[in-house]
Amino acid sequence: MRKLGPLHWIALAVAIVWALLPIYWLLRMSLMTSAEISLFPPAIIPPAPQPGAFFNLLGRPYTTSAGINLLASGQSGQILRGLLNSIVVSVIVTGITIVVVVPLAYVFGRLEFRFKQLLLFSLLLAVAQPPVSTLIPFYALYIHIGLAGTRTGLVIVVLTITIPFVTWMLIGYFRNLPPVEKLARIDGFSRGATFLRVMVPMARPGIAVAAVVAFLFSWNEYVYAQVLVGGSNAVTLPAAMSGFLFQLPNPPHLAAAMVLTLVPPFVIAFVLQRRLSDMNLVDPVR
Amino acid sequence: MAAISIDRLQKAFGAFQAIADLSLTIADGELVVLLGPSGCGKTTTMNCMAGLEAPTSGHILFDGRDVTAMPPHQRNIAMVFQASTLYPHLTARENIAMSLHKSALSRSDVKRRVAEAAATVDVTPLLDKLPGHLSGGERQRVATAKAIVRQPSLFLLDEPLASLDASLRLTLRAELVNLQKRLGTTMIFVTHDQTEAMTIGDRIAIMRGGRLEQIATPDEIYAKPASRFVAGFIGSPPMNLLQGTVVEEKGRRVFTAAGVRIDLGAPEGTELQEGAAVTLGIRPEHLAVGSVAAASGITGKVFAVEHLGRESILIADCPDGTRLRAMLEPGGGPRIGDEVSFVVRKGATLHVFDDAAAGQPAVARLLS
Repeated sequence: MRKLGPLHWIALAVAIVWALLPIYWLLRMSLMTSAEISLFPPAIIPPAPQPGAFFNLLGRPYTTSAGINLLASGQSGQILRGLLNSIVVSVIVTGITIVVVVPLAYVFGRLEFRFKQLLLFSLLLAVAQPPVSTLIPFYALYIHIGLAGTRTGLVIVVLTITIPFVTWMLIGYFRNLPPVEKLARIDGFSRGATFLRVMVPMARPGIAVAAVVAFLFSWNEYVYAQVLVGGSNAVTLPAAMSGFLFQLPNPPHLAAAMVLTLVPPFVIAFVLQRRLSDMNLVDPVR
Repeated sequence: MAAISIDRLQKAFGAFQAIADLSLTIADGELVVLLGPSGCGKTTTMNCMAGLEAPTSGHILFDGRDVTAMPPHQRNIAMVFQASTLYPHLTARENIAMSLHKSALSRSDVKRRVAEAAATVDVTPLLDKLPGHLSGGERQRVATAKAIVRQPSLFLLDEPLASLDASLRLTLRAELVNLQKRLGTTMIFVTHDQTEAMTIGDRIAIMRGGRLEQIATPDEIYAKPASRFVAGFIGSPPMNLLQGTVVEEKGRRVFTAAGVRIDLGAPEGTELQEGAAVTLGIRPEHLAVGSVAAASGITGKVFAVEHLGRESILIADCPDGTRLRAMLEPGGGPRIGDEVSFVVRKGATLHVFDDAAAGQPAVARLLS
């Protein structure tokens, strides 16, 4: 590997601070009391870090070692429900997206058929169209058919975004896989078996990336969630968090809720970090 | 082991005729090279034999058994693809074993066969590596092991050495031929490289535009090309081709072109018509260079001299634009820009091709 010069190190440092400072600031706030946060100048390091906000968020009061009583958050019901719903919705969306997208991307990436260009173009349109443009029609429709305020309804809407987007992403990946279809036919695989037993295992890294993208997209989806399931039993974490907007400001609770939302993406990134750096979407097989 | 017979095979992709009426028979244990420029239908022919493409019409027989409609894995063939394609996510061992996944062999038999095949081509230490961690030559060997593990009756190789560097190609080429002779399995080898074809083939089938131009041993193809295309395609440096007409002088046929006059001898036994437009082919080794005007009247300006050590090749442009090559003794020789004249050596073979007939077949072959 090439040696890095001082400018590279400076650039790296800027990038790292840029990415991590806001997260550190959130974490710091979540470990402080409201009074500590409102001090000026602000404390860079929490003077007396305590996990009170997290307890409050989960519906429990907490007494700090200094004897300050921190009351349970009024949002705790929504937050807990949101956490569960977000996990359920994201896992289901990821599962369905992968099941639909992998064959779709394979077909678009490696087979020739009539109207392929036209279909690809319509797929691109689906990716390009701003999600907000379908928000009101979906809402009106859901009110009629009783899907407003349900997880099913939200899953369907999120799928309309993840499926075209992830398909578009994976087409190029499949196209760049080596031409092993003929080899598989000589080895006696049928078309279906070639796809399931050769192409899918071969494309595992790309499929993993696609799953991460679908999961994160679903996890972070806010606009639809806010409109379609906000305030209902099917509320997801981002929508539940927005409930803080309409209450007495409680920065530690808000910060703790945001830290909570960051946990699943962090876990995924941590588990996959080794593979993520190995995954080269442009040239899948080195 | 199988004898192959292809009977009036045709394959069209839409309006494009990839194979137009191809018939050919290959003996059991023979190594036949399909040679031709890209787009000549050689790979399509191979894919039809493998069962990867269904022919539009015609039949393919293995040992007299019609396999035209049979799926690839039932034909008992093995194929090595361009650039020795392997499954990139499987180790060499798993790649080789994949060839046997449709067989009824027990797990221990598969293991034994894989080990044997790997030992045959010397890849045993590489068995647990992924293709991405193998060099081009190693990948090619693993692909060969994957082919032989099936103990097929026919090997089909589609330019397996195309992506390797020259010296490795030479080594692997010899290994492949040696292996084929040891196993005695019929092999069909597709290439566009005429040197490769000449060095490995028992017989070479030269294709052009979906048709078979000639199938013969390398020596015969070199000495007696059946058409002008074959003459120009085979041989390095390539054969000199001069365009002209046949005239009759004092009972002898003479080839004439701008300033050129070559005696073709008495007309007996040949089909040379007076006034026919023909192409005259002379191998570079059959031309000598003199500095003075020679009886042939072929002159040219030296364009380049290539020194190959064992011989030198002189390339000269004739006044009519034809580029001629002659083989010289090594060292010295004319310089670029010199005017030279060419002499047809004694005992040279002159190939005469009929320009008027489609396919430009050879109509006469004579010694000067």
